[in-house]
Order: sequence, then C-alpha cells, then structure tokens
Amino acid sequence: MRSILEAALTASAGDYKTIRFQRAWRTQISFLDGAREFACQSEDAEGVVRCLGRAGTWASAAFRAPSEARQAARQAAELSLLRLGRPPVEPAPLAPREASFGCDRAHDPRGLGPTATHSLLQALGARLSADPRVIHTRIHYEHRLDETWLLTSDGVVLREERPEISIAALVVVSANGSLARAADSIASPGEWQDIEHWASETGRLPERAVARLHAAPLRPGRYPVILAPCFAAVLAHRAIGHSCLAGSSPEDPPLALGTRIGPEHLDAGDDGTAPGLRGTHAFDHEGTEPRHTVLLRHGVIVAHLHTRASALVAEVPPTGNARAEGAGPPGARLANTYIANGQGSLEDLLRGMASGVYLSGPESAVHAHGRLVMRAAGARMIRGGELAEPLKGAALAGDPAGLLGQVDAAAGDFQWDRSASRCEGPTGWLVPVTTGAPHLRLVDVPLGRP
Amino acid sequence: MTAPLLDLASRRARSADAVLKSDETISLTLEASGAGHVTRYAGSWCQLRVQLEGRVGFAGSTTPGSWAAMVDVALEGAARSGPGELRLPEPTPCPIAMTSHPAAAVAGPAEIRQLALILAERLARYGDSVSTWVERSTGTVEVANSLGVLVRYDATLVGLGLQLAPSPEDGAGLQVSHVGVAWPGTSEIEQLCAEVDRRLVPPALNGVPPARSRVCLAPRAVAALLRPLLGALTAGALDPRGAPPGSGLGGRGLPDLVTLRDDPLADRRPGTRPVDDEGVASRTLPLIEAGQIRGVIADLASGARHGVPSTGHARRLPHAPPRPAFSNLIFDAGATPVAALRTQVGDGILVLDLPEVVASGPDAPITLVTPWAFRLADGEAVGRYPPMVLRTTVLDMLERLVAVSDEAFWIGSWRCPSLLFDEVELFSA
Repeated sequence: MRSILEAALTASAGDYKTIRFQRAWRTQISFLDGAREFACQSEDAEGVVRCLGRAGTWASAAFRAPSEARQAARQAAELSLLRLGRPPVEPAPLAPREASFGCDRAHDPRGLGPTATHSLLQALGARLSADPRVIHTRIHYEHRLDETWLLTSDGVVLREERPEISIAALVVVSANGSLARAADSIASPGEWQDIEHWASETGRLPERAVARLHAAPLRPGRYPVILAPCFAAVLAHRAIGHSCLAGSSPEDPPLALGTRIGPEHLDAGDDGTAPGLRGTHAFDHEGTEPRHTVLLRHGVIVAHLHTRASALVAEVPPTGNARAEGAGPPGARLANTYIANGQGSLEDLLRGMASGVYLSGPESAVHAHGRLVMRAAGARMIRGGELAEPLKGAALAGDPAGLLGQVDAAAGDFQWDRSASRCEGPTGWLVPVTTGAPHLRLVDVPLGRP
Repeated sequence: MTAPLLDLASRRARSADAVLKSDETISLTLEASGAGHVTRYAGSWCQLRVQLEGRVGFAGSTTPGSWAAMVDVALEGAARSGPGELRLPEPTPCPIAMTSHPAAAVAGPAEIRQLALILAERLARYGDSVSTWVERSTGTVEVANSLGVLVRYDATLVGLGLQLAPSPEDGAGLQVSHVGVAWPGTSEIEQLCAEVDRRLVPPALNGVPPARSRVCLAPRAVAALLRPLLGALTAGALDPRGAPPGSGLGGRGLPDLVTLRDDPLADRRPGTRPVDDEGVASRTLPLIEAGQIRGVIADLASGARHGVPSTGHARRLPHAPPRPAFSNLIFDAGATPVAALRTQVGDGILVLDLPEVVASGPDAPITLVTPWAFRLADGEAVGRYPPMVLRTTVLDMLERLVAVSDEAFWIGSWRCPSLLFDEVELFSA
C-alpha cells in the first residue's frame, strides 16, 4: 500500500501534495421492534489527493482503489492550475516522520463472531420490548476497523488502525394517547465488555421513557440549576469548544483570545490525546499529532484550535484538530472537549438549595445566531437539597457566555460521556467526538418551553 | 450494470433487487479571503437485497464488482433476519421524468469556475466577506429486480450558492443557494443576488416589533418551518405498529389553505426520478388537500408493515435499510397576489429565512432565531429588526395562517408560496 501511495505522490505535479487513504471494515446490524431488520458487512475505501498548484489553488481529487491514486493525483494537479483568486494560505510546516499505529488482535472487532453480536442484540431487543407500554424499539449496532494512511510531500508517512464498537437504542412508550421516548448509546474502542455492560444497563430504558411520560411539565421561570456531567459536557462542547475553532470556516471566526465567557473558577479544553475516546486519533487529517489544548483558563479564552493553515496565520503551532470531509479542504473540528474538574460532590452542590431543577440528559443542542438552546431528555425538581419529582419540557436557552457566566460551582466528579456522540460541522458533516464535565451548578437561569 | 449481480442472486434466493448509483462531482469554492479550492469526486455504490424463505438480507458496497461476495453477505444476513417478506414491483411503463440536463452533464472545471466567478463579481459590492461555491454532479442510477424491472436513467445536479460572514454587530451570517438539475443561467444568478439585496439593503432598526404582529413568511422561511410536519406524513414514523395517517398531528386539523403534494415528476428538480430506489414507478402523491391528510409516503417495507402499497418513495444507501423519503414537495399557491398579501400585513413583519427546524413532530415546541425579520409598512420592507425569536409549534403556527400568495418559488426540492399569519409572537433574541 505504502509504495503505491508514495508512487502516486511522487508522480504528480504541484508544489505541495498530500494523500489520505482510508479503508473501513464495517458490520452494521439494526433491530426493529425486537426483530433483526438489517445487517450489512462491508469494506469501503476512499482516498484523496490534495495539491497546491503554482496558480495558487488548492485542488483535490478522490479515488476509491489504491490503483486509482496515480490518476487522481494527476487530476488534482490539473485542477490546481485553475487560477481562482488570491493565493491561499500555505500550511504550517510539518517535520518529516514515519509512524504506524496498529490495532492489537484483542481489540480488532472483525474477530467478533456473528453469534455473539446477534445474541446480545436479540436479548436486548426482547428486554426492551417486554414492557406492554413499549410500542416501538430500535437498536443500531456497528463495529468497524478504520485504517488511515497519510503521506505528505514534506516527508510524512503515517498509518493508523482504529477499532470501534458502538450501539444505540431507542424506545417509544405510549399511555393514554401520549407518547414518550428514551434513547441511549455507547461507543467503545473495541472493548466488547463495555458493550455487554451497557446492554445490561440499557434494559432499564423503558422505565426512563415511562417516567418521562408521567412527569409533570416544568413551570417556565428562572431557577437555580444543576447540570448532570453529560449535560454540562454538551454545554462545554457547544458554548466553549465551538467558540474556539479557528480553522473551521472563514465565515464563522472564533471569539478573540482574551474574551471572558465564564466565571473565574471555570477551566476548559480539548484533549485530542485522551486514551480510548472517540475524538482521539494518532494524527489528524493533515498529519499533525493531536495535543491537549487548554481553551479556557479562569473563564477567559486562552487558545484556539487550529489547522495547519490557520496556525501559520496565528503564528502558533497547529493543534492536531484538522478534519476533512471527503475531498473537501480540512477545517478545525473538536475532539474531546471538557470542563475541568472542580471540588466536592453532587450532594455538596445540592446542599442548601431550597428549590431548583436538575437536568440529567441532553436531548438536543442547537446554536444559532448567538443563541444556544439545549433540550433536556430528563429533569428532576430539587426540593430541600434533594432530588424530587421528575419533570418534562425543560430546556436551557440563552447566549453561551451568559449561561457560562451563571456557573457558580463545579463538583469534583468529572466524567467523560461514553455515548456515541457526533458533532455537526458547517456543512452538516458529522464527526465522532467525546465530551466530559463534572456536575455544574448555575445560579439563576431561565428554563422552560424551548 | 446490475444484471450479473441479479443473475447470481436469483440462482440462490427466491427474489432479489438492487440499486447501482455512480456519479462524478466537481465542487469549487471561492473563499471570502480570495483563495479558491476545487475538488473532484468520482465513485459508485450498490445495494443488493435478497429474499429467501420469508426473510430479507442486504449487502452494500462502495466498490461494486465483487458480486459473488455481495450475494454471500446478503444471504447470510437473510438467514439471521426476522421474518418479513416484501412483494417486489413488477415491470410497468415508466413515466417521463426530466432528471438530467446536457449542459450540466458536460460542464467541466472551466465552466464551473466561470459560473463561480460571475456570481462573485456580481456580489463584489458587498466587499470581501462573500464566498461563493458551485457544485456539479453527473451520474447514472440503475434499479433492477429479479421480476424483470430494469430502469436506468441519467441524473445531473447543480448547486450554486454564497455565504456572507456574520456581521460583528448581530452575528447574522447569510447563506443562500440554488439547486437544480439544469445548468444555471443569468436568471438564477440574479435571483440569488436579489435575495442578498433584499436582506442587506434595508437599514437596521433599533426597536423591536409589537408583542403580537401579522407575519409574512417568504418561501425560504416556509420551507424551513414545515419540515417537522413531514414526520406525520411518513408511514410509521411515529408509531410503526400501525398508526393511521395523520395521527402524528395529535388529532388536530390543519387550515384549509394548506395543500401539499409530493411530486417526483416535477420538471428538473433535485428529487425528480422516474422510479424510486426499489423500482416502483413515480407518481404525484397528494399529502394534504385543503387541510385534510390524504396520503403518507411509504417504501416497500414500511408499506408492508402498515398494509398499504409502496407509494414509490424508497431511498437506498449502500449500508442502511431502505427508508421512505420525500422527493419534491409542493405547497400549492393560493389566491392572494404577493403585493396584496404584503399589504395585508399592515404594520407587521416579513421573515425571509428561518434556520433549519429541529423538532420531533409538528406539535413539538420549537425555538427559531432569525436575523432576517423586517418591518413591513404598506407592503415595503423599511428596515431590519435585531435578531428575533419565534417560539411556537408548527401546528400552532398553521392555525394562524390567513392567506397564501398566488406565486410560489422553488427552494431546492421545495416549492413554496409566501404565507401570511395572524397574531404571531416574536421576541427579541
């Protein structure tokens, strides 16, 4: 493989060239209402040659089979001769290096037998459907091994094998003409035991949906609020991470360094090196080694996440956050975004709260025109310092800095959220990510109908 | 060509069907910075479905050609799947559908570059914050089954669009695009530029509108608002065990000004096709007539679950089960001339665009923030409000519908008129 890709890189014209080639071995299985609906095994391949030509145009051409790489390199070189406008920013230089990051056999999901996966999914489907109030269940399972090659004309030759097993379940319950749903998911870097453990816990999903069905609607108003770690983590991702993407879209610049968007005690970052998480890779789509970047220190933005081009403009090192959708140009995307640990426990945060609301799971988060709306899948009233009756219809809305500014305490119970999360970029392309946070308390925020 | 694949599959399965799609796409972007990039993608994919002993199995590939391996995978899947048998369509005459355009099919990088440069030049007066893009796809679709269905058609698609960087004052970024089968001409470029002018020419206003106003939604905003309605018009989307059509509306009706149909035979639109991805012949499907739900879309599997035939709305991907999907959606124009409709707004609000609506259904609460709300006075937009928030449900909004314009416009695969709503609450963001 390496020799084929190197030959294509060498044979093409252009001042600067990269080849990225990815193969994925995937097995997907879906169960609908307890019966297997769909199963598919596949081996997919896609490569991209990217080239900066003398005319100052970045051009790329996609290919499927390695044997087509040379032709794609020629096409990219031809396209790069189109004169389109001002010369683009060149990428920050990259030191030559060669490395291969393989997957050990124990974590290669291709070794999973069809019987084990089928039995687990069938048993889970039966458990989820057993409650008579459940009218619909859907389970989607996928295991995959991704192999990525990256070669650049500055002498970089990298290869990574990356395993992942993910599973997601949805139940819909009905009673008295009303419907409610509950969903959960997990992604694991090839650990089958993680999936088995998750499946045993997920049998309780119908109970969550039923609780939501019978929950009292939240009375809109301003409340002190405690966010569960998974909810706080999505706030970190949307409100902090997305404000710090420098090489994402020229039309969507980051907030300036030095901008205060949180209280003094709030620290946050993006850690592309955290082991075993969805956003962790051995190298990004430009060949840069990922790093741990502190984005927010004492509530103030102290760094941005960069591609090689945006890093050169900002005169900082690239952060290893470049991702390219197919043959498109790379942009900075989030990896594993977090709010740092605080002190104490959930009980410490609850203590002394006469009343308030606990938001336990994010259902959706939409950030548009400076306003963030986060819908809660689960919520509880807080009364006398304890979690009380379930609520529904809770949504947190406001400008991100305004919401972060209301954080008055973070507990010391940081958790990475292991769900199969994906982040939608400017073009709608979904990138696997992980988010993490401890419990957060916000003093006075508007809650109500989204 | 799917013939060898179906031949192999038919020898080992009771029935089989397949879809094979191939395309070549060139995308070109001129960034606001003045830099440009161009990409070329070429590829194909195939999905095979087999039926054996009352069970269904699938195989997909993005490197078609290993037909025997695909048949093995599909049969293995069928052996483990739950019971469920589908009745594949028989060969029938295909309707005529204009899915390709010669100029679009032959356009190369030079023509694509020229189109992007023309658009960029037309928008040069907005300074260096505008980026433009053009994307052209050309390819073929082949759908076939073991009962003798074999349909092959060419398809082209051209997108042309622009982005304006968000303004530092209110964060309002602008994205508009045109998508169609044909190669765009001067009129499409002028329409895009006019859309930019309509948003940016009126001066900014400092005040906020009254708490309740008459609101006119322009076609682009209408297309965005109505998306949550579509779940209720899809077989089994909310209750796959047999909810009657329209049950997703929670027993609520729609005003008789609402008439919506799905038309896969519309002339040269993005969703146009002679057959769906399961080989069912395309036809126009009434969805809502004068406020009454008349139909829901179904593919073979969702139709079988509900005891109804497929409506010819299957969409297939290489590695996912077929799902029902809309083709081109047409909201019928009404009787009120656009000028009269705007005059009827009085001292009210014109909303040119809304963000993509995320909601679980038409009765689910939604919060939409739009920077494109304008004060209308005597039918003219006299200024742009600061970003406004619309909190509603789609059904609540439609209950306030009082007039539909007599002109409708294509927004991608939607054709929408302008709509006038009474007593709508908009808040300052």
